[in-house]
Amino acid sequence: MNFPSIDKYITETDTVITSNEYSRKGVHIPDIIGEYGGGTMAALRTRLPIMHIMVSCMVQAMKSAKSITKNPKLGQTKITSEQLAELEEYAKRIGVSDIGYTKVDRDMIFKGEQILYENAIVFTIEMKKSEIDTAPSKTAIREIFRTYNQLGVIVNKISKFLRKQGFNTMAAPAIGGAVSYVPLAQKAGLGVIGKHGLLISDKDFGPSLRLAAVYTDIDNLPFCKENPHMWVKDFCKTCNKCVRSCPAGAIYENSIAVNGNENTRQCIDNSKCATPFANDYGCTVCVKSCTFYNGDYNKIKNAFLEKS
Amino acid sequence: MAYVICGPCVGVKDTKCREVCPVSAIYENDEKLVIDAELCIDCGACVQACPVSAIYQEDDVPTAWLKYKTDK
Repeated sequence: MNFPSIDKYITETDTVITSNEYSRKGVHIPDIIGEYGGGTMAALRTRLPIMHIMVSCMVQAMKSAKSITKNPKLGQTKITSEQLAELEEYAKRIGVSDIGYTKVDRDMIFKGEQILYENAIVFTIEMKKSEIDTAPSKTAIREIFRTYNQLGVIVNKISKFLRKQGFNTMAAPAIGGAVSYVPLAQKAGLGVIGKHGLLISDKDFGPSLRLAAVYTDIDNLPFCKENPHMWVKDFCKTCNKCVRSCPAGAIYENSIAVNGNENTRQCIDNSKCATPFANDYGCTVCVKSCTFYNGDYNKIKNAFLEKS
Repeated sequence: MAYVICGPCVGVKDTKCREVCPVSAIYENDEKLVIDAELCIDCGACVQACPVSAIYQEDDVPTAWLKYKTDK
């Protein structure tokens, strides 16, 4: 299954930003299920509860791609502080948990993909803990796709909101995006990437969140200069709860080079992770077992920093 | 939830658990080491570090050692 791309809506006046030699190949979930899952019937059983939401996600993604034709192209690239406050207020009202700003590095763009603007507004929304507590389950996978879909709607609404004010945007939905959102969100200061590869936020839901973005040519956004959560990197070195909790043994205490590439080191072994993920209602065990999912960010921070 | 240090630690008091605890939640009493339930963040790093397998999750403490749940 291919997700809608902006390719066919790009005009000669658009300048695209492409991936580079350090970019990674994007992963398509249906391919993972095909490769590691227990066949069509098993895939149907575990993905049937979310098929209808999946369709809705695709509709939103199509809308995101096609709507770049509605960019006003007025050459307006400065946002006022009032407009920004209004944007943030609107985003919160439609369900966003947190907002960050950064520039997209070309390394973060998946191989062969492209975006229109380098300035990113990054959004997180919570995957409700009451539902994720039950993972892996029908309830949890429904919650996961509810957030995929809600973010699809949110980025389209935000794009529309900004276009109305004369700015150009490209909505980047949570599923099938052209950019790796976790490093993008880390760069935007919304949290830190844990050994489990998830973004650990300072909210009470910790890593139980989903990400999406809006790219824009607004160049005076309050871009994150210093991520206040970097201490979590040191904490993760001592905790290792995800390493012990992963049912597939797919999270290593020490990072490994991905496909032998020393530039991309991570603790997750993608192929090991794929097996329980493909054969059940997703997995999500690393999300719900993370110390930051169960504990209070500030309490952990204070105690940890006091020790070190 | 928190972790509890049980019987096998009595008289042993190996400090490996204290070294790995990210939040310094482990202290010593006359008998053995103790986890401060208020400070414990439930990461379980101490469980693996304990050389005498004395550490259990609160709900899994064997009946014989239930008294250690209220250790001070």
